[in-house]
Amino acid sequence: MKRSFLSAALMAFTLVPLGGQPSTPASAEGENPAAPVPSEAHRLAAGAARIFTGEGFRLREGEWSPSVTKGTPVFLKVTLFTGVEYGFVVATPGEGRLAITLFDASGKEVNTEARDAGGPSRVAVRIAPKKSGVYFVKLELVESPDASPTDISLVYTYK
Amino acid sequence: MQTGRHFAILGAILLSLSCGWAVSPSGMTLEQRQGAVFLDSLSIPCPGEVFAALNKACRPNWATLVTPATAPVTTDRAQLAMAVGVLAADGYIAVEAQDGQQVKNIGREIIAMAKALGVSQSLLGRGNSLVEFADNNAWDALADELAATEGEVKSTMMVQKDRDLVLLTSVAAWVRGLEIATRVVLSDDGLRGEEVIEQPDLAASLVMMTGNLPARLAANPRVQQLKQALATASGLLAKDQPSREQRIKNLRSIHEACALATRGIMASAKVNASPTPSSSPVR
Repeated sequence: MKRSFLSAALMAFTLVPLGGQPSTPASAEGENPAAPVPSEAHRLAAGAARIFTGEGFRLREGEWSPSVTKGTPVFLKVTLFTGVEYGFVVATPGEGRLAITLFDASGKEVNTEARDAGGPSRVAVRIAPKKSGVYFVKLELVESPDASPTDISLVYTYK
Repeated sequence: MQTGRHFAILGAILLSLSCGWAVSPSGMTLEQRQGAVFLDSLSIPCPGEVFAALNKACRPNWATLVTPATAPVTTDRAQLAMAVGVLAADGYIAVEAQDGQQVKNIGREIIAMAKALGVSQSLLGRGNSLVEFADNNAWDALADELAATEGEVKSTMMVQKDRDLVLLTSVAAWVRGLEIATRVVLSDDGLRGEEVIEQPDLAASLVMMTGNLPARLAANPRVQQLKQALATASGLLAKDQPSREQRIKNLRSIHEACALATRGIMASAKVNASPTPSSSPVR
């Protein structure tokens, strides 16, 4: 019950895409805007993350929502801790097939467990790091019906 | 023939190096690693992750780490943003300690900070949810709701194009988490949980990011204290395999620098509240 409430709350409230935005000076002081509307890719990713939150994982507030084209992967640096399990989910509203791969600090691929998140446009992996430290998350559009950029969104969970 | 093969191998190595391959072709290239995105909303571990790792390593007595939630009285937006981060970290501690009243207090303070920052409109329902979950001892839901509250403050600051304040919130939360983590590890005879703290790359990244803050923020004394804490952590964590005594000394220095920064963040101009634990309990 509480999980479904939280999922709904997260759907309703979550974040604006943060990735790759340049720093800008503060403005609009004194205004009091409502929460930003989540992107469709983020809404799908947060929804697909239920496969983890339903198992006691906590959804990390925050997202990465870049645009990708087939053949040009994008990479995110993260810090993971041993003893903690992580679930990564990437989704797109498009028809492409996505892939997530994790690498350690030296750039060596690490083993992950693939999870069924609902199809090729929603991909999830679980990892229990053997060592605490820097890791890299690679997101890739493996197949795409066309060459145009596709919006994707990454979220992650932990427990 | 043999020499020709050697040339071919040498050529392949040079070609791979010129392409940036520092590992096998199936791994990441050095160029890819250096070009990876560092995003404060995901690349900086949230206090919940740090504390989850500590829980696995050494089962801290969270009840002893709960501190009163006293938000600073200030109009300094940088201080308010950093206070949200510190309070969020304190909220996770209260959840770990299963102290419902404290979670409610912290939620109330975060929303007060959000109002002062002018980003509170979307948070009105959060306070009620926090109270409801606390009254029902719904600890997981409370943790999620606290994280959502902090996330919402940050995302609304993003809408207001206060990206630098978002960074300060994330960094302050991490510094508060580091302060608590060092305290926990120093209280453990075996220094269990030390690997949670030893993240020199992360500390160095944060030093670099806060080094790019605009001059008006960089000149803020509280921001300078925060940067000093990061610099201390970055410098000491980068030391290669020091002795146990030196490690303890380093951890204590990091703890004290972080405690000083969080005390500064949470201090009001009118009331010199000190919601962070003093560094004295640390041996």
